[in-house]
Amino acid sequence: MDENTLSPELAAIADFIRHTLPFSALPEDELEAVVRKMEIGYFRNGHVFDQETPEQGLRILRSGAVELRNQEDELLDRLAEGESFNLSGLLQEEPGIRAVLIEDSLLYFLPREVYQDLRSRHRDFDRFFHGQRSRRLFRATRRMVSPGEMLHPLKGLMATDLVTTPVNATVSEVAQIMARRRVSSALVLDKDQLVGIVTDRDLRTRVLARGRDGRVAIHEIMSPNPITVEEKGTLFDATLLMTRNGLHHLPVQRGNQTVGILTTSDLITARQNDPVYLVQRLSRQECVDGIKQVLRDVPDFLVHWSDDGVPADQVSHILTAISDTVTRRLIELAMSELGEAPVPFCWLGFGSQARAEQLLNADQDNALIISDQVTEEQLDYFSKLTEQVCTGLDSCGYVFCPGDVMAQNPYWRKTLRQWRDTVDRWITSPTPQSVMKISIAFDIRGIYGDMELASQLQSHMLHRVRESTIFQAALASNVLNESPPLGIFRRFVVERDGEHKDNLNLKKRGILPIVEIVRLRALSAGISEVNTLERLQLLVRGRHMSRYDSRNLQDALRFLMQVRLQVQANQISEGEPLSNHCNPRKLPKLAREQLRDAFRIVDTAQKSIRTQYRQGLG
Amino acid sequence: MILQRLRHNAARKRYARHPYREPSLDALLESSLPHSNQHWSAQSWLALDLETTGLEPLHGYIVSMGWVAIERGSIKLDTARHLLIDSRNLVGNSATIHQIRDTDLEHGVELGSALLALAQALINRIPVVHHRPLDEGFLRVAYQEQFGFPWILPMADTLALERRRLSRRQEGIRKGALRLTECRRRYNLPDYPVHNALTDAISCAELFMAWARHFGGRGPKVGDCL
Repeated sequence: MDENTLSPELAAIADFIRHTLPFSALPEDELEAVVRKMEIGYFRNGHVFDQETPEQGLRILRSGAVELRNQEDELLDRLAEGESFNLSGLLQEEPGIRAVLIEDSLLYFLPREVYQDLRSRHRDFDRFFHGQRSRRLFRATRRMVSPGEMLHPLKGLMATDLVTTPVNATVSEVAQIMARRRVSSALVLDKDQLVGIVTDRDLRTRVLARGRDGRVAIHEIMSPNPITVEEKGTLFDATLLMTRNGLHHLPVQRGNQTVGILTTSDLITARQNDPVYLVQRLSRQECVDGIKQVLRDVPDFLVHWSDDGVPADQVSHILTAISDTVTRRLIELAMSELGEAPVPFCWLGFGSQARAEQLLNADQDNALIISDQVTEEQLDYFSKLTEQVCTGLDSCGYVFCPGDVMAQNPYWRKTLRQWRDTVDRWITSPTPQSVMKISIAFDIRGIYGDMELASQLQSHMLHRVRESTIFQAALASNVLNESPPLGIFRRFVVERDGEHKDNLNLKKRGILPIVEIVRLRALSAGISEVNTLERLQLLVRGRHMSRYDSRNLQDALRFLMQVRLQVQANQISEGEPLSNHCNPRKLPKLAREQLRDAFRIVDTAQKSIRTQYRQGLG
Repeated sequence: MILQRLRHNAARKRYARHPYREPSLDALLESSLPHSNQHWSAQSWLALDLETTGLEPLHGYIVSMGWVAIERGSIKLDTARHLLIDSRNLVGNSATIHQIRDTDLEHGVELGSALLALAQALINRIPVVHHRPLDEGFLRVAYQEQFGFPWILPMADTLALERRRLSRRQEGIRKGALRLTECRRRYNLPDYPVHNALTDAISCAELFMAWARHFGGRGPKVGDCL
């Protein structure tokens, strides 16, 4: 008898694997063969896999949970049942990464050679690994949010208006209460103690299907001693408990008292807070109102993220991704009405949208580049398109730019050739007013359309600015317009009167000065990146700025952005109108000191600009 | 261990006199006995489960067998086998067996071939079962009847190991606490929805690994597992 011709029935394992990524992309017969090549291992809580682990390959969690941590021991991701990790792949992205078990775990292991072979033969399977780069981007947004998301306390998610019943009630009494309250479960209490739970399914399978009548006592058909979760537990704990035990209802306890109940749909709703879902939903809307509807939830997300300690630059990244999506969708909707564009064009984002540094009250700053092939008659199409999109953005909350820097303004809607001429004019004869007005146009990013147009304009700009010391000096004097709000003895200088009395404007006096200093440095160094933190990193790499100065400015900017985020989150929670103003006296002492430090760094950086461009400053 | 060795030698001599010896059974008896102070993960194991009719080896039959090997502390699924036993030649087939079997006849193998395949898989491996008396009883009878082969292999029994561990904790052992599913839950091992000889063999192998990983210190030696 030949052992190898016997086909082992590994159905239980194949069934599990079939439903996990990326194996769901494999054909059935292949799956069977893959399972035969797997190994199963059991490891205890605290076990570590790292680059020293002799067997490298794909590890799939059958039970248990694992945390991925980087060299600095920061949590990158947390994986549960059905999720997998390939350490050698992750190590290429993130040297020093390790996987630490946080529960006793059963792991399925697929040796490296086997899945490399699968990758070479199955495109869909390969894509899962191949897309490491895009997966990283995806993770970068998810990573910041999903741990926070999953670590959310249960308090806000559970239903608290509990439907309870005494232990001696009859089935039909309970069914009536459940019907009246429109719920799918009821908690059975005995002297205020939870002794059981009854769900729709119990009524179906233990009463109706068995032909029992409604007079049966509820304790005979309930599920006794249900599994519960502590109120201070997290969404993660609850999800784990429910998936592991196949539960649809999970009572929430505070000590001995039942205070709420969670259902599987609560978990799904909670997951929808994920910005990835939000962006997906936005791109499916068919009208402006639909987009507005989806955007209504964004302020709440901002509050959650702020509470979870998501870094402000990540929040800005997400919010910018959202406004990019809104812009693109509005352009698509306008085009479905007006028809395809007659010639290529590119929609540009300026300022904070280009830099991916938006928060919620951003107004719109945008422009349009039209291909030089355009004819006089075709220009009308673009006038209509831009007007429709700008109006749409305004009604979605990205209000019209007070300085009129918008694609619907003909001044900001030109052919590439006209743009080049305009840039040349700006640069050869700058005036203080013109520089202030156009400086944001040097933070430029293509949002929709022919990106080649955007990059041609940008490289033209970089080239011209770099060779014009006059223009650099004009930018420098613009940078020095706003001084940080520190008086003598390092007291904060706050507004004396008006709407924002006793407040200081974080954006205008702190964030924008840094943005402008860094923009000047980056443009003179010919750096095409526009995000301020990235510009700061590139300036160090190109030896245009000392590591020390760059770090200081990064820290100051991060801190100011974080304070601004908290300020906005508070304003949302309090129902106040959004602004960038903050009363320093309301800050905790430490934060106040840090704010002072941040402003001092801005001051120092401005002084160094003044020294460097003294001759040109006139 | 000395006793084990003596019994092993006696068995080998007894089988050497058998007129129609099977090479794989010879090899099984010739393979060296395990070293009891070797680390558990340096030893090869074969987790094994039998499905039988009834609990009495003399009156029941083996309906199917499943096994899987544990090498270097990890279950190798490429060694997994699930054999359904062709019951047509068995004397006194009961209707109940037929019910299970009729649909699966094309997969069935003769008991003798199945036992030889198992013997082949057992060379240099120690069998692991959950509840040893049952499986050992059936195997002893089957090997004796088919081949006149004296089954004397040392075996690891996860039920006995788990009982030993729980009683060391000075807590009473609840009724049912030693059932395979209950034992697995204590180690955060998942419930398998399907039960057949192979899934139960895999379940047993996983339990065995979990038990070993929780043994404490640097882990059990082979002698601690028997």
